[in-house]
Amino acid sequence: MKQGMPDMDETSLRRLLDSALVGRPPMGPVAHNALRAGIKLRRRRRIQGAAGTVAGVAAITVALPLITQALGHNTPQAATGRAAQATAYVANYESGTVTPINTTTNRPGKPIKIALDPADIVITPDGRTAYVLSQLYRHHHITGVVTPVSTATNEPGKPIPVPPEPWTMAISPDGKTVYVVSLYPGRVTPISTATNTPGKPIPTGLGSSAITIAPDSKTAYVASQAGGGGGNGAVTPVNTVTGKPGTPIPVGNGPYDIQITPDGKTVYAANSFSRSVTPINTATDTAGQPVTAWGTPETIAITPDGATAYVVCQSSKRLRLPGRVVPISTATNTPGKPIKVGVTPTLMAISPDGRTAYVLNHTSDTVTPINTATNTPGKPIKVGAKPGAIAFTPDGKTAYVANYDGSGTVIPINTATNTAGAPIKVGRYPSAIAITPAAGATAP
Amino acid sequence: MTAEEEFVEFAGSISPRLQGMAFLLCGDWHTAEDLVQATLAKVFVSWRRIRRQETAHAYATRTLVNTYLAHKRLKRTGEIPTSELPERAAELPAPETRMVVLAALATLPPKGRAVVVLRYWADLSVDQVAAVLGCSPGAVKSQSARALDKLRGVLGDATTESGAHCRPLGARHEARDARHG
Repeated sequence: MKQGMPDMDETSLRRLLDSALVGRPPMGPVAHNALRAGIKLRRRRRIQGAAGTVAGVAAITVALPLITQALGHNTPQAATGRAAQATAYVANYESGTVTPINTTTNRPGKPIKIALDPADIVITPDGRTAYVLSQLYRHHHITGVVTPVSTATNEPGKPIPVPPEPWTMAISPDGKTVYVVSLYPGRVTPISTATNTPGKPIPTGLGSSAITIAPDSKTAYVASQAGGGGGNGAVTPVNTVTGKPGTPIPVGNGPYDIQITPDGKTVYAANSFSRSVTPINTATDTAGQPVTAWGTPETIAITPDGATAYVVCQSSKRLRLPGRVVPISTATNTPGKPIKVGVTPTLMAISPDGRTAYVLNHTSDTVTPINTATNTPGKPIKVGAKPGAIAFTPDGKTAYVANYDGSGTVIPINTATNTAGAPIKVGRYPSAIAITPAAGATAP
Repeated sequence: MTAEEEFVEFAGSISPRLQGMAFLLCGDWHTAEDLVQATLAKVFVSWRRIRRQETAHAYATRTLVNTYLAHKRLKRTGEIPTSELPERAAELPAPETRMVVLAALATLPPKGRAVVVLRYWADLSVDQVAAVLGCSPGAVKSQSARALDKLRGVLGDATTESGAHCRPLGARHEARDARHG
């Protein structure tokens, strides 16, 4: 320090800094908004398995078992003995394990040791490898690794390092690339499933938190909370062939989820803090007129036929009030009547046959089935506590719902009767579920 | 009390402090609120673990600073208070000290600014600042020495000056010089 400058001691500097805070405006409801955003970040896990909200992926994962079956004789690796039955893989956040569940017997297998804390899981369309994303806490900050797990042996492979603050991941419909999204400063890192090596991280905007991939696997769309500049949300299209990000497309505030239609023509972004959904024309990469939703839009699910985009919305007034699901016609981009569901709905998944949408109500500890033909809610299904992830078996007969709490259980729901089965014991805080496609599965 | 309620209580208690810190870091109330919100969302994601380790405050501070640094890395634009200074200072005679201080802070590199805010406003020790920024205590000391030097150059004796009316101009020129030098 320079000598002879007594005019700037610590007290006076502190006073000066305090004086800069004159005119401090009252803050908005940051705690509640942060809670909402946090719940979204934590619970909004990719809905995987044979079907799900990511209809583009679903189409592939449903179709592939048939291809695998047809080629079964010629591809012994793809048609191993275990491929005859689907296995559900559950990532247990606090236990540092992945629990395989035999979907025929609903018995859990031996937990697979994974780096702490497993936060997300995806399975290749051929069902041979599960990729598990772990968030590692080091000195008050978060780094990450992705661990490939062979579904034939349930043995974990060598962890693949990824950039700090990884939040979610997705696999391309062609199964060639796993994309890991890092929240800050906002990047997506491709991992080749052929070599299990990470590629160069691609910048996608500050606060990148959701990804959806076009059915042709050529473009990945990444939503970021501040990628539009000046704290505005944006969706950045990434050319997956060149690894280059395109120009960010401005959307509303807080786009925490995006989904692409099965035909790949439209991407819908849920603007949490603008009470709207922005449709993006993927042919021109331009945003259309925002569609008004309800409360704070959280997540989006699109029916397998692409006709309806359902937007899961929480109450923006108080977290203890019931939420709504707003159906949006993708043909006209007009919203239908909001459907009342439970308290703090976080996400929904649509059954492979497209007939029923299941909404996870985080605070009500229930799952609300919605008849997609009439858009009427059925009787809520009690599932335990804090439902946080859902996946369907390839035949669509069972939905597995993970209770994101200390009880460490997964509940099978019979989709024919909408009744909950006996809890299946997994590790603590199951955060994500993915189910392998089964060779013997019947297509819906 | 559920984890959520506990978090909301924690967030409510810490947000004024985070807001102040964020404002001193970025110099704009809107961005400050965005930074606080992003920070708290991230704190909630890891809430159970943090709560268990009783490091919520440290984690929140660290997250805020990292979010700010990432923000600066991404957006080189943002705050250029010096260009607006004279008019504003003329319009608003009362808070001119505020403008001088903000102008002075804006001349610091992001990390140096974080050191000043953490050490002299948030009252963290050298070791604590080092832990937050993920660098050595020695680096914190040299960073703060450099930052203070620069602040002295820009602020001069505004600390004791009551009629700081003429300071903004001086601050402005020196800020410009500092940038060019």
